[in-house]
Amino acid sequence: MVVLCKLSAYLKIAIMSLRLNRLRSMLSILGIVFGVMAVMVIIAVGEGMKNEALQQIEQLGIRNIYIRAIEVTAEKKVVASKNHGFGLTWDDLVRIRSGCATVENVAALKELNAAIIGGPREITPQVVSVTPSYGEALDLRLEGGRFISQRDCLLQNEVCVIGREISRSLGRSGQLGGIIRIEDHFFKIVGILGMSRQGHEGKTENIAARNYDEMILLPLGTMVWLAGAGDRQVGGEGQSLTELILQIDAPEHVLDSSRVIKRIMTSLHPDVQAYQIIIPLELLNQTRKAKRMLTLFLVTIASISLLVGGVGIMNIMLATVSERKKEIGIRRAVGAKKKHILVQFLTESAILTFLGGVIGISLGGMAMIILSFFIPWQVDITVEAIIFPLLISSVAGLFFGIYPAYKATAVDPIQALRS
Amino acid sequence: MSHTLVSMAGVSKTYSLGGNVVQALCEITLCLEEGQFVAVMGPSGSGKSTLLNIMGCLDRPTSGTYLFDGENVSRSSDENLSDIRSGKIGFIFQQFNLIQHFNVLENVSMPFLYMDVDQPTAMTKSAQAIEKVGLGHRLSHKSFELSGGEIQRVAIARAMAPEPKLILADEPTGNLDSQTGERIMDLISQLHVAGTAVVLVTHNSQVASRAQTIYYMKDGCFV
Repeated sequence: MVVLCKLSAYLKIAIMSLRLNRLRSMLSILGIVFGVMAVMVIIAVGEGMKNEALQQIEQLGIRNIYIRAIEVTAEKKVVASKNHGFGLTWDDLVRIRSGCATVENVAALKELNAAIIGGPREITPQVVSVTPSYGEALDLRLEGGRFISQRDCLLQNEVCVIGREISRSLGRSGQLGGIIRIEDHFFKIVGILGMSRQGHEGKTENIAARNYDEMILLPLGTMVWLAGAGDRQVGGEGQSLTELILQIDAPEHVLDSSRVIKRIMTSLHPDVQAYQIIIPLELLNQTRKAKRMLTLFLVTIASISLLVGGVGIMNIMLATVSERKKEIGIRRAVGAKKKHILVQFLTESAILTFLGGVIGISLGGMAMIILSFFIPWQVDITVEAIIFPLLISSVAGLFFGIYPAYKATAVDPIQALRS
Repeated sequence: MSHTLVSMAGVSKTYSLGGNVVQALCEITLCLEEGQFVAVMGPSGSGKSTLLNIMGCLDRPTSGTYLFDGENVSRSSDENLSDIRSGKIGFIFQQFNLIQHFNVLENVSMPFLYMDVDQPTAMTKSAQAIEKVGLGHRLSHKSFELSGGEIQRVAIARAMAPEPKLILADEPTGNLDSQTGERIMDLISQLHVAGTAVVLVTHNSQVASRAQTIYYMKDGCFV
């Protein structure tokens, strides 16, 4: 109890002393204020960026390996077609499945350029045809109905599964059992996709997760009518696909399997590499590594800014000590020990830095609200974005307060009283 | 049977100033009983203040033995000396030495911050001391709002509030007019009457005449 009273007395004295030189106290903490503000904003923005990337990668599934067709020049197309047909084919999928034992599940997707007749105006749905395994591989959730089945593909049933946004914008005709006209064909809605885990289209280069809210999924095979005579039916050897998804049995096999798959793909497409292989797990590892680098970078910035801020505090505290020699002498005469003087001056520098930290965090919070209007990803104000700068500023304050406080204890009371 | 409060035997103090050794105190032997009122007179530089500093445990003698309240403090640590000052010794200075931006109550209660005393007790004792010096109506005035005499009364209240055994007054009336000085001396005499030992350093023989015993000093020695 007595200790608490003493502590509050020290706080009171410190606040009184600091208030005597209000302007000087405020100026002395500017370094800390801006340091803390910068650290907080960087942490929050960096954290938001990382979460954004991780979310996209997770949506792709860490057990999956993607092979995506990419655009190549016309010349290369000619070379490729001479040898083995252009682009990704059903055959690639079959060969990989038989050549790589760790592939547990395969799925394929083909993007179609098909117009929706009488579709929603405000959004442009992306029409794709997929294998029945696609939903499982991507862990797509259904709000209602069912996913595309094997039977749909085999019988070329004119059915579709649509995204939430499309369903909503179509109103009553967008419900289960409704009919959507694509080109000259009528597709019955058999399923509506649930909330997609990602609100918007991927921005990170290379990842480009799809926005399922605005997609219409048809059974792979039915695009025969839509894409013209050039495409053959599902299972046909020359079938040109947009994306192959290979689900590996366990995350720890993904990297090894990816090497095998790369080899198979190279042997199947020796001349032109008209595809890219995306390994979400690898991206995840890269992102984590980048995050570690970012953290290191932050710690460096934080140390520098707090060093500067701390030196500012030390400077002012040294001036305070030499100005208040008489007070120190009086206190020593009435019984203060050196440790009491030390605590008093440390309390003052701790209050200064803590105040700097609090002001810095408030300004940082405001800066983030303003920033969130200008940057596309969400700014995550985590607990560590608040605690970390506050903690290091207080530690810096105490550290840089030690020397002036020590100087205060070294004041000779007899000399001080005589001055 | 009175108890010996201050006992000095062969106490000397030397300083080295720019290579020269200055003998500030020379073989001082002094005994002071509890409740005794002593004045020390002498010209400037005779060693009065040095004697007061050693007696008040602000400084240590270079040689000799100093027993305060039965405890040998000649070689005590800084921490131990602070402990003795805290609560057992009160100081009154010529320059008053109040903390300007503190009010009367805050100045007077300051010694309690370094003592093992709870807040309410500290406040009560401080208020009582202020009342005794006749400034009960000025508790929350800042020291710069007070006159010289009032400031010295606050300083006396600060010295007496922890009820010390010894009060050391270094030229307490030196900066005051004679009338105000008289009133200050009345207060100091009252402390003595109440049982506190008082050591008063002064140039003024009229002021010194209030004491029971007067010591004269010259060149660091009693004469």
